[in-house]
Amino acid sequence: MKRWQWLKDLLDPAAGSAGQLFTLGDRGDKPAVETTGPTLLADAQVRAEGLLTHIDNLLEAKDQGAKALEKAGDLSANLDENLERLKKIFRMPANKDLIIRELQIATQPPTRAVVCFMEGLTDKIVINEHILQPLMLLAHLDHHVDGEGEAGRTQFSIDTLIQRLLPGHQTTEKYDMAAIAESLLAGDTVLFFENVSTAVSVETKAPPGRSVGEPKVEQVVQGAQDAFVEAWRVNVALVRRRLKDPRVVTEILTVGRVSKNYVGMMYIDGIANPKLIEEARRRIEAIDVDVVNGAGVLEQYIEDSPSSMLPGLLTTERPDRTAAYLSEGNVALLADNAPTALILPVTFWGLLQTAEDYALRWPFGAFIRYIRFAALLITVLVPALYIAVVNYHHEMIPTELMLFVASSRENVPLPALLELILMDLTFELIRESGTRIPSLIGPTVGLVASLVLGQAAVEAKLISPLMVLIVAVTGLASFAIPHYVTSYGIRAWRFLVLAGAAVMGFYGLAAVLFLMVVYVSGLRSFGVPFLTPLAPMRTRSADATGRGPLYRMEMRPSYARPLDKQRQQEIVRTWDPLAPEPEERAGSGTKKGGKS
Amino acid sequence: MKQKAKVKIGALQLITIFASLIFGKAIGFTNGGLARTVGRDAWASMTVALLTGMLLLPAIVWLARRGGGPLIAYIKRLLGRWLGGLVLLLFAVYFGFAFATSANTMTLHISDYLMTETPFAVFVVGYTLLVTYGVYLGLEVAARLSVLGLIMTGLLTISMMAGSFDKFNYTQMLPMFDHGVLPVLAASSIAHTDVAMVAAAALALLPHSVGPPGRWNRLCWWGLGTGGILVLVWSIFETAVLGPDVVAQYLIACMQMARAAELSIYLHRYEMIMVVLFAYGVVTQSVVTLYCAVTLTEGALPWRVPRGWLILGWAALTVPLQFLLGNDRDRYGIFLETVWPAASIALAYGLPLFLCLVALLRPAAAAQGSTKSG
Repeated sequence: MKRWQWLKDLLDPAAGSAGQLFTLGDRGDKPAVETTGPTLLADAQVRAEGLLTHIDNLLEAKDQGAKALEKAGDLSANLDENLERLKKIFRMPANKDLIIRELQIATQPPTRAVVCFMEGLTDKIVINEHILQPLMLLAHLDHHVDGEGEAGRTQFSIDTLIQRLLPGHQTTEKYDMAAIAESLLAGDTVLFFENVSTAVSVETKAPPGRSVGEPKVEQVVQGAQDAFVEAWRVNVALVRRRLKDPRVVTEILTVGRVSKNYVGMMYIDGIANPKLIEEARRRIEAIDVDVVNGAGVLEQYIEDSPSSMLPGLLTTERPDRTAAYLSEGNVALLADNAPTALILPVTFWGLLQTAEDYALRWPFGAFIRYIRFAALLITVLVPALYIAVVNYHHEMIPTELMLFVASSRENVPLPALLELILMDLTFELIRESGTRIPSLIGPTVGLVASLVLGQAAVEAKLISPLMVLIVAVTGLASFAIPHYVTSYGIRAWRFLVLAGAAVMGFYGLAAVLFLMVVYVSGLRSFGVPFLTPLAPMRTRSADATGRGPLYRMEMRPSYARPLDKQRQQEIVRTWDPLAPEPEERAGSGTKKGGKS
Repeated sequence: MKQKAKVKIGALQLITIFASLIFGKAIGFTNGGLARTVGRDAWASMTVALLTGMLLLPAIVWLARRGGGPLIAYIKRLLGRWLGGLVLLLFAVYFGFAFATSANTMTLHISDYLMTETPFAVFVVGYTLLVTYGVYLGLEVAARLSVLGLIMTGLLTISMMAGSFDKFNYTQMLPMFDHGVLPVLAASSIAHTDVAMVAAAALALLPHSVGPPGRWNRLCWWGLGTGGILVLVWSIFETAVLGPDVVAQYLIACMQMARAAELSIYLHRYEMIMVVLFAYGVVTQSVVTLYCAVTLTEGALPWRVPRGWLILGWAALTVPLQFLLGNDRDRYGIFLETVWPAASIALAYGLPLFLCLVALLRPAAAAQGSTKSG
């Protein structure tokens, strides 16, 4: 019997729990009412208490004018009541993150108060030196005496407190518990007082975060070497450092019912199109989900075609690039906890550009863009062309070349398509593992995998040397696509085109390619056709597929429909002896556009 | 209910659409047909057709401007619900056949020169599905595609000229009017099949233009002129490089032209590259013609049919039509040189001219909603 039980325990992983198996609704059970009931009831009670207090405060304030009515929130004058509600809202005592520190303000007589803040999100030195110390030690000094108080007594008032006792740089009055909770979660410190239905919030934010570092994905040789971090306020500052214009606006939006993530929406008033700003705001405000963590998630909630293979917004970790786009009339979204900015709208050509294109002299900047475009074509087409030629159109290439291809494949037992798919998948595997492996051993593993595997496969006559070359060139070309998410899409396309070529040679290849072009032609990014300014063709742009001299880019790109179209005078190199005189400039030729 | 956005096309895109509409079939089939009829004067016949088209376009533009809005509503206003519906249906049938000829331009290229062993039906079905997707995405996407199409067509023409310039022998084009002037004029009816496509499409597409109606004439002329010049270049090169006798022997003469072009030893089968460059213009032509057929049918029917079904219906109807027309090359050649010119002149020129007449006779109905030029 024991042996039988032993065998049963061995075979059934749940048998050991002997009927006391814990399940969490894996049979579709709904949570019992007795479990959820008290929680719902407690929440309703807190809300009801708040509502009743709010009504009382409104009734009290109704004869005292509009200002008093504005200040009538749901806070009670009873400190204990307020504390009790706050504790219920923050699920205390189970929750240990909220710190509540009771104290006596050194007025005469002392005033009872409570300081609340979230552990880990605040700067404790600021709390100690700029909140607790003045309140507990300095409040009794004569110069803090309110003029209206009795002689020898210090009268407590919120105004005095804010103006003379709390040296914090951002101090605001709060009248609602919801606003207080939000402030606490943002890292502020909130003070409650006895017999006062107003709380005071002092800015003490110090969330954990790293310092500004170098870009990881968008590295450049020439140009700035700073990159965004997870703290959105730092990111806004990095952009503002580059755009010292009072017209630069940062609107703060909040997304996520639970995450309540801040999203800073930046634009330049007077340049960015108000319709674009309004649409961005509308889409962000429409997000109604629990958690929006990071730019990648936010992007999927607001882009025009979330199932598209190409991104509808540009993600960048570079403040200089963000500033450049803002100056051209685009809108940037800086989400908290995301070390990237989202730029909208974006065009296909924008996804193939880098910040360095502008730091280089224009012929090189233009050349490197053409190289990137060629890299895109190589990534998508080369494997498919090889399969189409080898399987269907032998006559397409010169006989000598065909004989060379045939001789290199002579001893390979696999069909060319299978050979290519195997190599391509291996390459993708190396790339993926190279990304996930810790950075210390990553390059070594990548090197070993690519060299040893390739060499071994060729020597084992499993793969032809030509195939290794094709996959290597394709892989190398895919690395030249600067935008990370775009390169995913392009790599996926490669397999689709390959499938077309494998089934119907050139016809299949051309058909899939055509479908892709039609598809991309139909894409829009915040209402802007993806292939503009090529299709639909807009005013001639010196900065789309190629790049013209910076001093000739007088106009902002037209695709974002900026309000102010001109960004610089027609002749900016006025010092140049060859530059026309002012009167000649007035009548000189056409103006060229910018980034597209 | 969510409102469907109005289709709007920019001036430049209209020009590229019109240029794409004339190019594909014209260099594919028309030159061969003309060479069979008037030999070395094929290019002259083509020129006559283009010039006639240029002269007729102002009438079409006048009619479109008088409409002051979508063609469907205008025709129904002019002719009444039932007769108007019938005329719209006739237009739709014309565009359906135009699509079939355009589609066959592409499928026969591939079937005869690239994948000779694959059954023709496979290309017909595959290509129709491809175009159906384009129609499903709409006219704006087709318009964007036409810009790419024109760029590709330009590259194709330039590379063909570069590859065959040293074989250009202008004496093959002489003497001019070898068959007489009247036969050249008469043969232009074959080329009118392509020009008429622009005329009919102009009537349907001009109301979608974002440009002022005063510029519509120029748009049409630019479109027809750009496409026409490209077609003429091919016509002239085919005659001067291959010679009229060789051109006359092929249904798809342009592929022979591409075969004659030598770009380097690494591109000795240049016609394959050519098909890729050629495809975008032809596909634009196919998408626009099928789009017009679907839209006009939608307006012609007295009851509402979901657009998706109409697209699928037209695609299903044209698959056997394409197969019947293209599967027998001789029969297709005869169709293109006899039946199709007569039908397309009657429908694509005749119907708009008839509408012009009605508009003149019923000025009140015609002027309602008329668009001021400027």
